Amino acid sequence: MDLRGRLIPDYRIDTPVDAPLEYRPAVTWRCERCGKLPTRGPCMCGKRCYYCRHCLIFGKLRTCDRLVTDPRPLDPVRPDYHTELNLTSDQQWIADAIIRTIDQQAKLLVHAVCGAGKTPMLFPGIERALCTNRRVLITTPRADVVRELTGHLTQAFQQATIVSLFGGSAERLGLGDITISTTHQLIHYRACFDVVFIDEVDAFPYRTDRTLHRYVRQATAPGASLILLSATPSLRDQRLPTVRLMRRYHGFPLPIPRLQIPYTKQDIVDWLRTHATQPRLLFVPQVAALETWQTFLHQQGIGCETVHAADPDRVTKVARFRQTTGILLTTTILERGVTLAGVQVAVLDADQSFSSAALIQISGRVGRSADFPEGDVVFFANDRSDAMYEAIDHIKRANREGFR
Amino acid sequence: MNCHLCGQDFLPVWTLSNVWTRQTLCPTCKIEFVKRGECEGCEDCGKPGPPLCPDCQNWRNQGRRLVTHPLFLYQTQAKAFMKRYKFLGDTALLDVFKTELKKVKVKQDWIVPIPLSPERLGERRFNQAELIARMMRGRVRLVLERTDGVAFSHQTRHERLERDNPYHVIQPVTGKTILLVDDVYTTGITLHQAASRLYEAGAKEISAVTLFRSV
Ligand SMILES: [Zn+2]
Ligand SMILES: [Zn+2]
Repeated sequence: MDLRGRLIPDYRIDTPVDAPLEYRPAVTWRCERCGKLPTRGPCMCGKRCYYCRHCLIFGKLRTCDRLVTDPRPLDPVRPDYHTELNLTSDQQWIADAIIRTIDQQAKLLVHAVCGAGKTPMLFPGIERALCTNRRVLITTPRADVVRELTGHLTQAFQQATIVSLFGGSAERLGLGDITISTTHQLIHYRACFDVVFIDEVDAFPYRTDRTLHRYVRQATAPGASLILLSATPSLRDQRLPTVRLMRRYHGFPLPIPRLQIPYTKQDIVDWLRTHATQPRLLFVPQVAALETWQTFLHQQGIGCETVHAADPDRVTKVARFRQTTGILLTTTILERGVTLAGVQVAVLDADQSFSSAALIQISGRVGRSADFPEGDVVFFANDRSDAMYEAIDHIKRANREGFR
Repeated sequence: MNCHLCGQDFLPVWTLSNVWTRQTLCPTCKIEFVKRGECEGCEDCGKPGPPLCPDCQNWRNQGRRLVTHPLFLYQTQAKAFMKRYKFLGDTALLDVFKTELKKVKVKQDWIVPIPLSPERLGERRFNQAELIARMMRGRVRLVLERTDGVAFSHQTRHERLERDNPYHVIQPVTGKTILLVDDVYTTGITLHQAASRLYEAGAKEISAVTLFRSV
């Protein structure tokens, strides 16, 4: 078991390690793994001792436990070159900015609209990092995004070892030349990544959960360069040096959402019928609304499927949806990271509990492929909300900037 | 303050009677634990329904009566509790039952928690029954030990009780009255196995307390 660059509880060691290991207490005045304050609870050591409730999922840490790490340096990174890319001049400009940031060990925010082709823009930067013996981490709050990125990167980099980590993945505690991980899984890593990309920085739960920021900070080596990627960055992130890309890779403008206020259920049926030849995504505000809409559409003779965050068949349902021209009812979990050719999008009750960032991301699902660069986005609502107008405003402004 | 079970924010209510207790669950989560009425259901195992359930009738016919007092019913909220408490090791949750457990009148000499096998103990790193036992007022003695043998599934109930009994008594218990403690009463086989070993070793009188009774 290789423990270099990792910090795990000593009871997790399953194979003997022939190296001088470094031990440290697991819980002092705070949890040494996640940094939160511990809780007092009854314990087998006879008295009540402290343990951490915040990272229980990763294994319980008590005052009477120890954390263990291997202090030896990590193996050098194998240089690798990406396969042939054809970037547009805009993308090339961003890629150069990323390479510059990596050379200077600085920080950068890449603010690029949905469908700008963010993933290929990273490849020149990753190549530069690998060739200068630096370990690359690409992290994101979303497991779906991790799966999708892993596919792209294994195609682009043939020689480098690529490890992908998410809850339930097989490669537990792995460490590759390129590591692709959810932010949660970084809890086990300490100071081992020299170039860190954070994709979808504003996605839930990374946006609000400060402990996830700590996990990322602890996993980065001193003097690492940090590159944030987002289509809807928060004001806090916009304080960093920023490069902006407001044009999609195929050169067409972003589709601007239409508003329909008020609407009746018949309007939804009509909308579904007009786009009968294309796949259609319907976003609803809550999980409870999925059921009611599904039964309503069934009464109208329209078949559809539903997905939500806790759905066990989520991955297979989305994969099936990719190949058909059916209808998928979903909550906001599909707002990011899915690319579906020729999809049409409607948001039902858009005035309820959708933030403007979510609405921008949802609108960004449409027209991503070069074959179907246009599409229809409709916000159905019975009331006006600031978020809807902010989202439309933001998209219009991005189009103005991209086509100046 | 956040509820330890549902994670929701709530305002603890302090009164004179609970100044010194730690409030970890929100009122809605607390209410969902259904307390078993004192003289309700089966008089031997506390199962809701007739005064003597068929299972306990069966035990009585074999001459193995064991009176068990479950404190709560094992329903949705209790299942969520056990999942966090037992499988994640969130032991601070047990404080919710502190007052209930302290109220249990222990007239017996010793309180004996049901042990775990060494393999299971190594994996879970605590014994959920022992922590419950230590919360009660009384003298806790670990006189039982568990070793898992090979399981034979095709035997009758009586055979299984005798041959596959994984419990052993490791301290003299002659003439003692004993209170067995476990977390959930499901079929009762565990408690009956432990009780039969203790009777063999010379214990005088045995009864049991469990935190939950499955329904
Ligand atoms: Zn912790
Ligand atoms: Zn302890």
